Amino acid sequence: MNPLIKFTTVMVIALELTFIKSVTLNVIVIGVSAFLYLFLKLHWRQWLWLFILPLLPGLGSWFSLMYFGTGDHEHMAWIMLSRVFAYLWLGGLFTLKLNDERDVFLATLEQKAKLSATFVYALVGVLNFMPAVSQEMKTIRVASQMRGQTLHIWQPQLYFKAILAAIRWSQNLAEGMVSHGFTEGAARTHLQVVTIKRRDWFLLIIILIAFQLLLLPNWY
Amino acid sequence: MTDLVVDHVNFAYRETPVLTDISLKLRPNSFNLLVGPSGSGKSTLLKLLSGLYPTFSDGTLTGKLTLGGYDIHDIVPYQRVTHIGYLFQNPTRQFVMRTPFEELRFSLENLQVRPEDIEKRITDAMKSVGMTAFMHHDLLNLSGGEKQKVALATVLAADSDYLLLDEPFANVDPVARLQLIDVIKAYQSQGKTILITDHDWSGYTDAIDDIFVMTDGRLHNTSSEERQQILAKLPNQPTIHTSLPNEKEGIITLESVTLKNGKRTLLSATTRLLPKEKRILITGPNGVGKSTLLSALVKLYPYGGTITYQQEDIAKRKIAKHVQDIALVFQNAEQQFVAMTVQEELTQAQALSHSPELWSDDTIVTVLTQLNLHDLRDHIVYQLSGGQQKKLQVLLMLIIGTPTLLFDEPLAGLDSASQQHLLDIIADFTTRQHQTVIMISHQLHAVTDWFDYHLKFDNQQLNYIGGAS
Repeated sequence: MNPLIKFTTVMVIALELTFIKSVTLNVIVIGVSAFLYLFLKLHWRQWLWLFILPLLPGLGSWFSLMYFGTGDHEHMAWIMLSRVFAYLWLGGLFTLKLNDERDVFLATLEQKAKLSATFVYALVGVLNFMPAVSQEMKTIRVASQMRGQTLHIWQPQLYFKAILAAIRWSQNLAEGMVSHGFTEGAARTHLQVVTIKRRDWFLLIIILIAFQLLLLPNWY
Repeated sequence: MTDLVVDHVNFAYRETPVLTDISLKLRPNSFNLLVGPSGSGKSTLLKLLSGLYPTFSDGTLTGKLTLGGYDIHDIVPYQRVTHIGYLFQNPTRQFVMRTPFEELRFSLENLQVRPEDIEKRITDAMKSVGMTAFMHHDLLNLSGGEKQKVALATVLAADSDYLLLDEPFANVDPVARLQLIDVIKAYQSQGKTILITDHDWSGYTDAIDDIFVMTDGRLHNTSSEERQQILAKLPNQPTIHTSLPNEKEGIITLESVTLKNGKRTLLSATTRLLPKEKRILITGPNGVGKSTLLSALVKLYPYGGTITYQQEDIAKRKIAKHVQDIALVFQNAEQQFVAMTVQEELTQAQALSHSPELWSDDTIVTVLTQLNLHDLRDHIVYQLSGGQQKKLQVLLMLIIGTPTLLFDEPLAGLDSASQQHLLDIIADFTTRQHQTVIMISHQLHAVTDWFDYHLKFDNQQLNYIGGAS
């Protein structure tokens, strides 16, 4: 499935979940996501994250509603807990495979969604710079240790200096792009033209219709 | 071919002029060499010609740079690049994408090359620099020389009429250098015009048509006699007077130490000792691994073998503790500032000094005056010029007084008077604080009699050179 179509599907369902007060529906979403994950061959660490990450915000809202809420607070508590899990598991369907599908996703954004190429390639550049960031943070810390001062991760100076480095990088990136003939707003050619298969559109529609049908019964 | 013309160009950063009244016209299909000391404005001129400046600088430009009568700066990038290709001095700064293939594709798509031609142009360009095997490798893992080849492939693929090359061989080993020279000569033979800045023109003297000399921002077109003179004398290296060490113990010892950059070996198993309380110079061609060696000494770069500091394996030392004994004065001064103003920096350094009695307020005033920094005490450190930042950084590190100080090109970009002042101050205070100094420098004219020992880093070897003591 084209990642942009996948993204749209996930976004629409997630948006609807925000307005639906139903535990059952949330659990169905979680269940379907879990079923799909079985085919995605996740690393055990990714499974672990899927469980741990929603736990804190989920339990946080569960406790506050359960013990301090008013009205239909017990139902709401379960809804909030399951909703946080549903969001994350649903979103994971898109994000966990993004690393492999990144290029197609960005190409689709540029060619099909007509997003400005400046935005798309700035994003590409930033993603390519990510591995250098942790090295830079390390250097900044050691450089100030040599001045006898240890910058801890809670100290703003560390981030101030990281931002300075980021500004320098962004200038390099802009300069590099222009030196490669990149022109804002100008036409570009594309080695690979992205096509969204008819099957993808079809799947998108089927999934969304199926989801609307699920809304009909008056679930808990 | 359209003419590239520079007409009475001045370029300045705030009040500091970088280029003064420059006029230049390149003959079509010629091979031009631009020479001059570092910091004389060569790179600035090339960046102006490429159209990247003044946009990507905060300098001001007067005068005209034109291509076929049009202002270079007014031509949109995708059209400009088809006429003028520019190769950065530091290839890393040029890359936008993750792999060479994507990099070239990005460029050719920008230039609106027809999709069916793109792949062929990528393959041809990569083949000409001998890098087809690396087509889909991660750029981050390529060596400096390999990056330079990919960067060259990118500008070749764009098929520009003019090729501006800023020290293209700086990070390239001698074998690759000869390959690249052949590639550039072949490119010129297709009717292209080349402008190259370099400090060493061995290997392509025969190809050079015109030589331009840049001194302090002024350009001078050489007569044929001057040309002969310049070409005859390869850049002369001053003699450095040092002796060979006869110490049996070192403050730092390397035991079978190896260094690698990706797959490329920088240093093959080397055992050396660096004596205590001496001044040691490290020289060697660009990209051999001098900076990498210093990084390894402060545990910022992985190495093979064992490095000891005062007989203690540094691998077992905590980095926070280690760098209180051995500190690196980074090439990029900004990385080492911890406060906002010059005064705050000085106060911080005084408070943490290893020898506070030496660094009284009076001493600091004297030194600041010598370095021409005294009037800048209220200034924000990030707003100082590159040279001022460097001088301040060196001073701060001297105040801290770490027993062993590693300097990575502290004199680069400083004028000769500043170089001399800084060297005097380093010599004075490191002697009084019994410090060991290890320095990388290319500014050899200033340091002919300054060092005790001289380590030459070349061909993956690190050896002491000099007369017997």
